[in-house]
Amino acid sequence: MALAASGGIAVAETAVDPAAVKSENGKYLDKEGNPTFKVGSDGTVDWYTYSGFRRYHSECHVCHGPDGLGSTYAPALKDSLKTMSYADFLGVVATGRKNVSSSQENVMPAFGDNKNVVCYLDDIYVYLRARASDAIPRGRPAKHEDKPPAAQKAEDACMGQK
Amino acid sequence: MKTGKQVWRAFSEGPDDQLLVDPEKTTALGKPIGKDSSLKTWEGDQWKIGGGCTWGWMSYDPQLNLVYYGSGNPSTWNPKQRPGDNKWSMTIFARNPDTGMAKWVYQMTPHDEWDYDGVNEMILTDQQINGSPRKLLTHFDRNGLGYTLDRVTGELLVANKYDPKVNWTTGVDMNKNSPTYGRPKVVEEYSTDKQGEDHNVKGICPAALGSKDEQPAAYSPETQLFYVPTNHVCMDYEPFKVSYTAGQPYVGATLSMYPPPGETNMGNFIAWDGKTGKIVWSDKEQFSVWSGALATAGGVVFYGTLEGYLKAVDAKTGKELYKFKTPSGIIGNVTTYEHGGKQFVAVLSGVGGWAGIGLAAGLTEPTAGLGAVGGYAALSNYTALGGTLTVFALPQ
Repeated sequence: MALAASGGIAVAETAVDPAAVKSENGKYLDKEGNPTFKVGSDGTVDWYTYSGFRRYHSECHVCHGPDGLGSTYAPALKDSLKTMSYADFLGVVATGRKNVSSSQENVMPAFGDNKNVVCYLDDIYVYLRARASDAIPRGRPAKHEDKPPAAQKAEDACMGQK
Repeated sequence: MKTGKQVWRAFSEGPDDQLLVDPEKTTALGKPIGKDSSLKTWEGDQWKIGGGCTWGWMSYDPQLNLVYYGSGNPSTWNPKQRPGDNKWSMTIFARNPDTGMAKWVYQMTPHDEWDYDGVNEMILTDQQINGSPRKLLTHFDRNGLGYTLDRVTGELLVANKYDPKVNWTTGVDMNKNSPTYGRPKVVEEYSTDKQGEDHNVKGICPAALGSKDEQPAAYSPETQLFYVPTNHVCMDYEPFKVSYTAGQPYVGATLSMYPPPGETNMGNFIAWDGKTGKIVWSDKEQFSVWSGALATAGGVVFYGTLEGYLKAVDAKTGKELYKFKTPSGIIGNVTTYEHGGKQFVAVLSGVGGWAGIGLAAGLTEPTAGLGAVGGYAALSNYTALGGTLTVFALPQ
C-alpha cells in the first residue's frame, strides 16, 4: 500500500486531512490553512519536514524517542499527532504538560523559552504530522527541497543573526 | 587536598585573569600569548558559553611540577555561529598545580568544525631525540594527528596522521618562521564552515568521535613504541543554527558515521613511533578499538574489541598471540597487577560508549547517538549487553 503520496491519506483517526492543498513560500498548508507535509513520489520531502526531523532529534527525542516512537516516560508523538490539533500542539509545547497522580509522574517542561523549539514549531509539527500519517519512514529523509528564502528570513528574525 | 577547599580555578576561555595566564610569561610554541589571547578569538559574548570543557585525562610531572590536560570543543557544533580561532578550546595546557598558572599552551584545532575535542590523555615519556635526552609529551588527538611536544617548553616536535585516511587537513605547518607555524592546513572540501549552515558535508575523516577518543594508549619503554587503539571512521556533518537555553540540548549539527569509503573495518590497533611520527605496524579490527591498551615488560601488548575479544599481540610485530571472547564488548582498560606472588591480567567487559551507543541505548536510527548508530549497527550481531570482570592468572 503506497502511503507516500501527498494527497488523500486515509487514516481513520486523523482529525484533519493532512493533504497539502496550497503552498506559501515553500511551506505547505492543509485545507484549514495549517502547516502540513509534502512528500514527492521519489520520497523528496518539503523543507519543513526535513527541518522538523533535525529539530525534533535535537530537542524532543531525548524524551519522546527517535522518530516519534515514544519512550517509557513520554508518549509516541507518531500516535498523538493522529488526533492532536495544530493549536493544541503549539500550546503543549509552549507550556509543557504534567500528568502526575498516584500512578504516574510524567512531566514535560515548557519549551516556550527555548528558541531551538519555538522558532521551529511549524517544522516539528509538520515532521510529526508526516510520521503520524505514515507519509515518511523512520530515519533521516534522504532527499529534501531546498531551504526556502522565507524559512531563512524567519530563522534569522526569530533566532537572531548569531 | 586536606581541607577540600578550592585553591584555584582556571577557565578555558575568557579574560586573562579567569584563564590564569600571564600575557608575557605564558607561551604558545615559544612565544608569549599576549593580552586577551582568548577574548580576541571570539565574537561578542560567545566565549561565555564557549565550551572547551576539560572532561578528559590529566597527567602530572612531579619534577617539573606541571599538570597537563586538554580542553574540548568550542560550542556550538555549528562553526558559523562562532567565528574566530575560539581559543583556548582544543588546547594542550601545562599548568603549575600550586597556583594554576599556565606555563605553556598549544591549540591543536583552531576554529573547530568537526567536534575534535582535545581531551585525550597526555602521555609523558623520557626519550632520546637526535641523540639528546628529551622530556616528551605525546598525545593522540581526536583530530587524527599524533603530537609529540617537549613538555618543559611546549615546543612542537612531531604532528603526523596516525590514521592514513585522515583528510580534513593536509598536515601541520612545521616551519618555525611561517605565519601559520603550528596550524593545521584545512582542506576546503571537508570544511563544514566553508560549506555553510544546512549543507551536508560528506566523507570527512575522521568522524567526530576521532581517530581516537578517550580510550587510552600505552607506552613501552623497552620498544619505545606507543600502542594505540584507534577508530577508522568517517562522517557526514551538517551544521545548523541553534540557540542556548540552560539545561537543554545545545549541539547544532546532525551526523552520520561509517567506515572510510571502500573499506569495511572501523578500527585499527597500531604501534606508533613518537620520535618520528610513523605507524610501525597496524592490525585491522572490524569495529573501533574502544578499549584502553596495556603494554607489559614481557613484550606482550593487550587490548579489547567491541565484539568482546581480549587480545594479546607481540609488542614488536603486532602478531596476534592469544584471544579470548568475554561475554560483552570491551570498552574498559586492560589492567595487570600482582597479588600473592602471581601476576594477573584483568578486563571489564560491557559494551557502551559512543561507539556502542546504538546497542547500549536501544537506538536504531542511523543518525541517532550523534551519528554513531549507523556505522555500528552491525554490533548487535556480534555481542550483547552485560557487565563482567574477567581475570586471568599467569602461570608461575
